Amino acid sequence: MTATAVPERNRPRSGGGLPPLQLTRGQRLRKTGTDTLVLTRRNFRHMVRDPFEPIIAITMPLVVVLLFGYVFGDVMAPPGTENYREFLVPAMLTMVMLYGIGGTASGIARDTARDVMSRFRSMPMSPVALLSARALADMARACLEVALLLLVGFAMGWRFEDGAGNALAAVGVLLLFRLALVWLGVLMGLVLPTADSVSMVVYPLTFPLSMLSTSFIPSTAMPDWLAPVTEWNPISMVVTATRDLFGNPSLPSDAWPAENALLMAVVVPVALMLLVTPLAVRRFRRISR
Amino acid sequence: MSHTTPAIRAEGLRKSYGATRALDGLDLTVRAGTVFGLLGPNGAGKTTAVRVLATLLRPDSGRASVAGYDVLAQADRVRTRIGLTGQYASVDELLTGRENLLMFGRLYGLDAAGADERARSLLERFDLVGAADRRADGYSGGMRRRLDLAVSLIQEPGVLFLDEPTTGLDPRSRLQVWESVRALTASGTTVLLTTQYLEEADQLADAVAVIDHGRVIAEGTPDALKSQVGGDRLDVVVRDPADLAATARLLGDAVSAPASVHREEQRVSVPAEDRMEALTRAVRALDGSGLRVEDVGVRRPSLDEVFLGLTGSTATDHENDRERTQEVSR
Repeated sequence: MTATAVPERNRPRSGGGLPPLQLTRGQRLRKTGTDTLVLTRRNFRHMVRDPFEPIIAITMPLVVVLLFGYVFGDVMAPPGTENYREFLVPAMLTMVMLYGIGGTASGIARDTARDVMSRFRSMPMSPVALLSARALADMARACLEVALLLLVGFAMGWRFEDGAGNALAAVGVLLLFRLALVWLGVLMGLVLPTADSVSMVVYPLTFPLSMLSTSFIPSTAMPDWLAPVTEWNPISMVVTATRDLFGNPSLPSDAWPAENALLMAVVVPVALMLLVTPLAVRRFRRISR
Repeated sequence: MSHTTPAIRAEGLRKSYGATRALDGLDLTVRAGTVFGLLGPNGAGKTTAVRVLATLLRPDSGRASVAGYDVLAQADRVRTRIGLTGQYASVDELLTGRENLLMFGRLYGLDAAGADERARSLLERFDLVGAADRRADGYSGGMRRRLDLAVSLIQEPGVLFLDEPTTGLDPRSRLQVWESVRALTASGTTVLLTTQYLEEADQLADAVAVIDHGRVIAEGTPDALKSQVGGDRLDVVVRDPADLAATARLLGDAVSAPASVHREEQRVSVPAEDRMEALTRAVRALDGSGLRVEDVGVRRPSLDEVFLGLTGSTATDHENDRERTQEVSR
């Protein structure tokens, strides 16, 4: 029996426009597109209905900044920074981008748990839509977070001082950083066994990482052996580049990464993405084959 | 596809996980439009078989076709013809019943209007209209399973896989699921159902295959299987283990058949060809015997006894074997 011999009468007759059995390349691409949108919408619903993780991810940096800005500020402000709160806002934005990785990883871990994944894979859908929908929803969330935190920044007295063009570029740097972390988060979600294990790994890892950067204190205030770690920390690069583009006070530093912060804030995330995206896709193919 | 083409055909399926052979040359033929029960204890290979047939798992060797398509070479096409309900309801808990059906409808390839119409009719059919706009995490086990079943029927599949559809359900929900499965066959869907319960296979299946260690050890109609195994059993549970031997003798004499003793459960079991007669005789014999009895009951043969009849060892023995082997290897 050849495949084409299957009569169409065996297809469901109900209305609703079920797709033909065999899709052309273009139809398949369109299906991936609609599947992505359908799942993105679901991901938004998840964020709204189970808001614990997104709320923690945005309030932690907010609390840190409010504490540093209004409580410890006078002690912590590095000499030469006139407005420590303006100095903090780019750090807060970067920190929120970083913490988003927890949501990405746990979302992917939930979607690829065996029973859920079995249902998706037994259907004529495009499995890769699970990844693209996750990326799309999380980037949309990142845009919302940036907008929200800039408003908080305004309320704290923060301003961008170097023109709207550069301010937009600063937002671009932050979102590029987040995009790289989305793919790192996808990989983590595929590797870690459960969504619960994600939060056990992500926060203990990201919190020290954001502290061991020039987000809050200059590297000169660190022990000698730690200073280079701080300077080469990608978070420092993103924070410094964002400060420069916003025209906010930055730290005087003659370290190479600080002097080339913008370059590094583009190169490092792109390199990270080139590294982790193929790994994530390969891992995903293995479990979705 | 002619009517003689089976809806499911598997030949010599093998799948190993390390040293464990989950499937060891499994052969199956399921006629279109029938309900086929795959019966076996935990770890017999039921779920692995379903996963291979539903295109989720590649077998090490062997071949299978579902709805006329090869599960390996034509997996995409198989997926347009099947529905799957796993052991654990895999609906989206944060979405409402309706939102679940709409989302999966779109993913199955329906357009927005089509998904809406399909959701409406499935909610009605599975008696979920009242709960349609409540989140699935607030559903009872039975409702969740019904929603899961509804999702797997969105594309009106020619072949439906139900992997232990009633495990963990209370009796009332179980009956509701059975009702739904019966209604399905009326519409011509082929159903492959895995279960650990002989009664479930008996209630729903036109044909049954008993599998153990990844291969079919018996096949036929539920009636044929039962006659192979023997009829109903009468059980007596005693209060004092010391009374087990005396009770076995007494009951064996009363129904003129050999009694088996299950020491751990303090239970004696005898065949009960005629339920009422066996019960009357047993109670009469026990009355005034001085033996202290906890419970008396007549029941259908269990999967254990099917296994005893077919293989000479019980399903629980299999597990005990495993435990013992582990203890020895320690």
